[in-house]
Amino acid sequence: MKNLRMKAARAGMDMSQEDLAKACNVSRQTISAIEKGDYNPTINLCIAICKALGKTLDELFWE
Amino acid sequence: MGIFRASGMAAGLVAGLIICVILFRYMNKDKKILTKYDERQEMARGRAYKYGFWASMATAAVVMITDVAEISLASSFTKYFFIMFVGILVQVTYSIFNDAYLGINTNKKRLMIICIIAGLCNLLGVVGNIKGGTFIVNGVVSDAGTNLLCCILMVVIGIELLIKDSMDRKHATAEESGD
Repeated sequence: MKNLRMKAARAGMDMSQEDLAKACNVSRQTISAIEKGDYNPTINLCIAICKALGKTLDELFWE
Repeated sequence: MGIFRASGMAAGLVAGLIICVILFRYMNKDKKILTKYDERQEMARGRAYKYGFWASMATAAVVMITDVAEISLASSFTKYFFIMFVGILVQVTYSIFNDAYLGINTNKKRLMIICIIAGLCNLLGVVGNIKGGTFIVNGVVSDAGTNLLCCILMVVIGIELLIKDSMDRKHATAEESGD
């Protein structure tokens, strides 16, 4: 399932996928896969993404 | 004669290993010895190694059958190397097309240069053997067949990386315009 909230949060911070990937120490393709719903990140990566985007886990990853 | 040949091959493998270590250190000049992969890449690489392993097993089975049938296409060394070649090719191809070949800290340009150099070195070996008439001996591909396989591997890796790069650029453009 696509993660549009994450994509919207990233766009709100005016960050490209590459910028977010560097902030979270992952590859751009991993961020793309998470946003497209092709990959479910581990809790550690979820936390890193939340910290980079200034959001909570609930806001980005809870359904 | 066999022991001398085996010693020569062992020495060649050690020399090759030393060269690989030197090239590897050059590739990771940023003092990060090991290539870093993120969690998704590690999982994809795990699958890639699995498929590569089974591809090697299947190839080994085919080589065994040809041996039993006394079909001799290449020297023993080349045949065993071909088994490894198929496994490596499958592993690398899966990794490349699942964005798990290049690590987070891999310098793409340096990697391409190393692939080109390795490919050219092996190509020189192949050309030298063909010119010297030692590539095919008694209707069978000699040990020089390993140079040809290495050259093919480097060329295939290079082409696949270029194709993947082209695909990534198109996707990146589409994603950024969709933002």
